[in-house]
Amino acid sequence: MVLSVTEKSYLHESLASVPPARPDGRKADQFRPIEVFTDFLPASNGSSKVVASDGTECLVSVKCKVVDHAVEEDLVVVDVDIAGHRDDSGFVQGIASTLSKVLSTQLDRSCLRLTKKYSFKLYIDVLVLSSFSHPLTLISFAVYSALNSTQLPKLISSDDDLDVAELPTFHDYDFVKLNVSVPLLFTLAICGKNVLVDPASNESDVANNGILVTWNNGKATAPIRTLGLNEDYVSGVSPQSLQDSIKMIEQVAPEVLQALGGI
Amino acid sequence: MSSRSSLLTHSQQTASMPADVISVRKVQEGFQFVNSLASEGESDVEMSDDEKVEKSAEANDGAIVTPGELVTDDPIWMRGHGTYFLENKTYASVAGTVSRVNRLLSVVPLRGRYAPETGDHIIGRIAEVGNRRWKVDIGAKQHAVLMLGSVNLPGGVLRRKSESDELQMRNFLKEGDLLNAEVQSLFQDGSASLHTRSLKYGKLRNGVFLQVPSPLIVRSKNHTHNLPGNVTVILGVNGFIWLRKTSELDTANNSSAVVGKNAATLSGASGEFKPGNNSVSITRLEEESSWEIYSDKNDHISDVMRKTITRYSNVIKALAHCEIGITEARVVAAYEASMAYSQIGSLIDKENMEAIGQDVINAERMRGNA
Repeated sequence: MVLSVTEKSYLHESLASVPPARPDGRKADQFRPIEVFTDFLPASNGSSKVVASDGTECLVSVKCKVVDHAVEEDLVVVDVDIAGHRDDSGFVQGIASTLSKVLSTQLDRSCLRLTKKYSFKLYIDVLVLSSFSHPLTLISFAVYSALNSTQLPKLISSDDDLDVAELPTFHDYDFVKLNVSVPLLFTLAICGKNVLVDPASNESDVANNGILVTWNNGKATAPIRTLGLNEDYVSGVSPQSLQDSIKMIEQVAPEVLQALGGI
Repeated sequence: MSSRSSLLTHSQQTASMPADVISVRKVQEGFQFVNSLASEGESDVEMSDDEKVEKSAEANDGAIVTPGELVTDDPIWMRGHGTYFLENKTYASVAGTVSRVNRLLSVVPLRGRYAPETGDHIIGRIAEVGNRRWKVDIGAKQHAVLMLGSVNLPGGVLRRKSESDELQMRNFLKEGDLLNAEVQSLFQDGSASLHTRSLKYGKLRNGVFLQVPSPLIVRSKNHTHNLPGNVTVILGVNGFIWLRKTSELDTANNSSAVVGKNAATLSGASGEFKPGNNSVSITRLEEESSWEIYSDKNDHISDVMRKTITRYSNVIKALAHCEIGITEARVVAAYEASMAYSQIGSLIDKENMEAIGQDVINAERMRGNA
């Protein structure tokens, strides 16, 4: 959305003041309320839909396939589709490459191991139905809930198949819950000296910069990098802001995990 | 009175809970649409065929109909908007209320894009600068047109628009700028032509913009209201809302309006309308239309004022969330109800929004005007 000059200056002044006055009254470390639906796609092993209060909506489905892990290197494939953006645009490809890099390197491969020869390969399909702000946080919440609701077929054959050449056989209807720690990606906006989590679209439009912080296994991990949220106000990131954002994520991430958990 | 006070303590209890970092609603196994969550347990309305035949002949004025529902089988009615005609019967093509004016039958949709009408006070955003005109996004099907001749230009209204004005149109209004205007006339295709030929119209500054569904805005005589806390709200009929710091012009307009009203009640029923009583007279308009009306600079706005504006913006969103028609009285009532929540950020939670909406409705019921 295009904002007028006066709107932008009002917003920027509000967000840069100490403490920041966000346009919807949130505190710097407060997220917008979300709604999470899980397990509604019958044809996939795990699915979730996350709706943010501004109408941003994201669907994730997880499907699995048995592969020989000596042949197939990648056990996680992520596909991202964002309505209103071309698949080959930098925006979509940037999000897709960040997600697939984080998920393929940080998901524990041993959780997908079936036998000594075979593993599950996960296909994670992300569809953003409508996005009004940078969708990465929401996508990451959706991927988290989808993977945590994923049920994989139960293996009944022996898990040692190096000597005997047999294909894994599965139980007819029993499933095993996928138990894996999923990294979360948080977007933060920097306005002046303030750091704000989960920027809404009008906040992104006047932010000086955006920062992406990844959270996995109880600590902030790579990648931590900047995100361009707009073209007008962008300026450099001071090391202090970087520290502040990591500190803020260290504070809020456990609470977010607790809120998302139990799905 | 007693029930009102108990209501307040109830909301205070909710408010005393610490504001969460994030609120997550979870629904497992099974897919529902977001809006149908509240109506869990309600079953579909049973519709037996013979009952339908008995009642179906007429849907009275004000009845709610769904698309494809028979409105009347009497061919005497003229078919208006929102209806279609099949085999001498008239059906509704939209979900809404039936309206019968003389012989004209139409269905007014409950939701949908804003349909401009002459005289509406609206807020729009410049989408395009064109040849002697601006295209304005007003949330309708088409962009509205604002002709260069329909705005006040610096140096008074009564001068002709020259070529130099045409060349510097972006200095007056450029893409993204917000303005409030009045619908001057409608074109054949339903798109609107706007004008800003009064000091109460023009470019908007010193505040924030928010949008609600346009059917929620109740048409009234006045759409600019000075609210407690030195905040002025412009409730555009198209659902665009502007909240700003009250300016001197706002207070001047409002006080003159109050004087006019009091004078009318004192002097009896004569109720003479004096032009210039409510709005700024033409001579003053000339004095005040300097370049300042197209300024892109905000005045100084204090932190307290920003907080008040944010609170108003959140309570208006809460009213819209509860599908309550938005009027000045309700905005003020909701603002007062929201005072139970010290954290403005807690007003974005669904439960709190619904509690505020309930408070507003209950207060109106108790006064007997709902």
